[in-house]
Amino acid sequence: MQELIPLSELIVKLTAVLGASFVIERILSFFNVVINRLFIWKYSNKYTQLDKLQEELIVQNQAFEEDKILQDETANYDNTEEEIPFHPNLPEYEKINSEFDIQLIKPLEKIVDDQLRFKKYLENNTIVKEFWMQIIGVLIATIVCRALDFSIFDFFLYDLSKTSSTPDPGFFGCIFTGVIIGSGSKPINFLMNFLTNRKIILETQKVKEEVDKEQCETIQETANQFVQNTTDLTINKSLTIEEIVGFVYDQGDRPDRLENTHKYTKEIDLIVYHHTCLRSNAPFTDLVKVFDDKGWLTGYNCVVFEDGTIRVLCRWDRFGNHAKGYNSRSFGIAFQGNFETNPNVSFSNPDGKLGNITPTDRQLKAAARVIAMYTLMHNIPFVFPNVAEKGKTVKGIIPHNVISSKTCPGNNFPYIEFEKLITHYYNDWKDDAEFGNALEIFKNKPRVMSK
Amino acid sequence: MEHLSIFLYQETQIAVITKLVYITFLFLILAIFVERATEIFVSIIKFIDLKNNWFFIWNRKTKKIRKRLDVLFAAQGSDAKDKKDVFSWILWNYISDSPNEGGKKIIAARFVRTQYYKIISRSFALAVSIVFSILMYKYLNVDLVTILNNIAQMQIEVEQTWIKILVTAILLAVGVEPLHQLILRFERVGQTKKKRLK
Repeated sequence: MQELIPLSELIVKLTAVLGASFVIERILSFFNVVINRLFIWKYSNKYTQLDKLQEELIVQNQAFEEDKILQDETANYDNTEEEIPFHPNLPEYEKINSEFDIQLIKPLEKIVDDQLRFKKYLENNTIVKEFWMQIIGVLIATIVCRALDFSIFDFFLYDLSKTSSTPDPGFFGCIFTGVIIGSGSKPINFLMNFLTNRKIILETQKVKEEVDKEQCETIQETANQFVQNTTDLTINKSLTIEEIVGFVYDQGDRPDRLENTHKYTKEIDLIVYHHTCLRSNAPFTDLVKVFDDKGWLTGYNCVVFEDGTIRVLCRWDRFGNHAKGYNSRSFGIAFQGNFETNPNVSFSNPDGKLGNITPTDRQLKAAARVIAMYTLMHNIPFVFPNVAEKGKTVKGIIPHNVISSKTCPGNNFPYIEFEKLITHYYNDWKDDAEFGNALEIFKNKPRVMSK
Repeated sequence: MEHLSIFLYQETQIAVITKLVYITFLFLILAIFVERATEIFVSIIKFIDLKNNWFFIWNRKTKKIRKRLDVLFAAQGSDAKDKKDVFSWILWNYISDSPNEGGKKIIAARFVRTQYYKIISRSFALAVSIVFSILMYKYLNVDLVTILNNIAQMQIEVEQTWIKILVTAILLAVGVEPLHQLILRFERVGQTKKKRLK
């Protein structure tokens, strides 16, 4: 008795399965393109017209609640109390003193930020799309298999010990084949993408290199021309405040969000300096994310990085979120880094694993320049109080720990050296007419001074 | 068309290779079926999750996990290394890297959801394998042990039916994971390329 393994049939059927998967992949790809267009059209209609109003309402409500809480806090501020984030809508879980932060899933309707909402929208659509693609793929494949009476399940039925004919797998075999063909189109789709994208990437890189080369040459030429012009002409142009202090006032992160809120209602008489508690080389976006994650509209007014770069986070005609109970009459400036070296303090940096354990010279000087300038800009009392006496209003330039139980900006912060630097710049600039003129011009820039 | 056929009883080199290819093929087909069926199931679960707004379930679980981790954290010694060791194996899947260096560790509800999806998909894969093995045996009288005996002529003497079914199911469920990883790798490479292109 000779029983056979039908290899030819196996190869033919396998090729047929592969081909069918490929065909279904192409059909689904076409659907995919159509659906993508529809989704984008729907999104652009839905979120750029009607929901724009709703979004503004959400921001306004959030801002209103923040203002309300702020007023309460300012009235009943107790210095000995442990500081908690002051966002009014802060849920209970955030108020727990935990070693971990949690990131919860927000539904699409509750996401205010445009980019995040679009990201979430795409994520949701991917899930819906994937579901329908899988179902449609399997259905098409199963129907086709049934119509053509095609099944690869026969291969399991070659009982070589028996001479009798094998049982017919019937509909079961069609579903089996349908699932393999239909859902098998997905890996084929990725394989196709991998192959086609690779080719496109190589071509794009080539074009990009050529463009870069051309651009470099153009920039070099322009730079040479500029140097030539400036050496030829004697320009006696007075410097701007931004050039003197060394920053660019770009109105901060998403300034429009604060248009109707966080307005200074009192005279600014306090400058509070902090450390961000983040790694000293963490980028600006990380800091923005911290405040976004807390659900706050904004954070410090200004941040100074280890290389002396100054970035505006909260626009200066609005108060930030940085010192509970004092925000509405203060300016907050933060050093990027963590300068707390006491291991008993939570989230300290005793072994320097978070980078510098003390601010860099450039950082100190840059921050001192900003503080000196801001003091002159708002005529803030030039004093450095060490304690906040109960019943008295604290004015001047203070570290955060003076008005909070926190150790911010850390035990390793060079307070005396920093105060000396501020004094140095302050004395240099206070009687300087040129500086005074530049300051007046700067004050007239949009979104610098509160009206 | 003339069929290419090989006689089984001939113990030539080609025959052995053919048998091996055939058995691998059968196993692979079955594993692909289970893997793809699981993938469809997960996409259905995700869809239901989205449509029914199950996010609050994952949020609630995240809060519970934070409580448990806080208890664990407090129970450890003061040495930071001890704590790290604990988190390296207990519930480490739930803790993702902090989004900003130096910040607190994060327990993201999305990660919690992913972990639950993993558990659900693996359980489903095992369940499908078992059901599939039972159905195959009941209606078609097919199982991997018999196939091995008949085709590879391996003298595996298993009398009990349930053992045959269980062996088939376990082999399938075990084979699904590496296959899934392989397909996943393809998908990731494809996605990375797509992102780079954008």
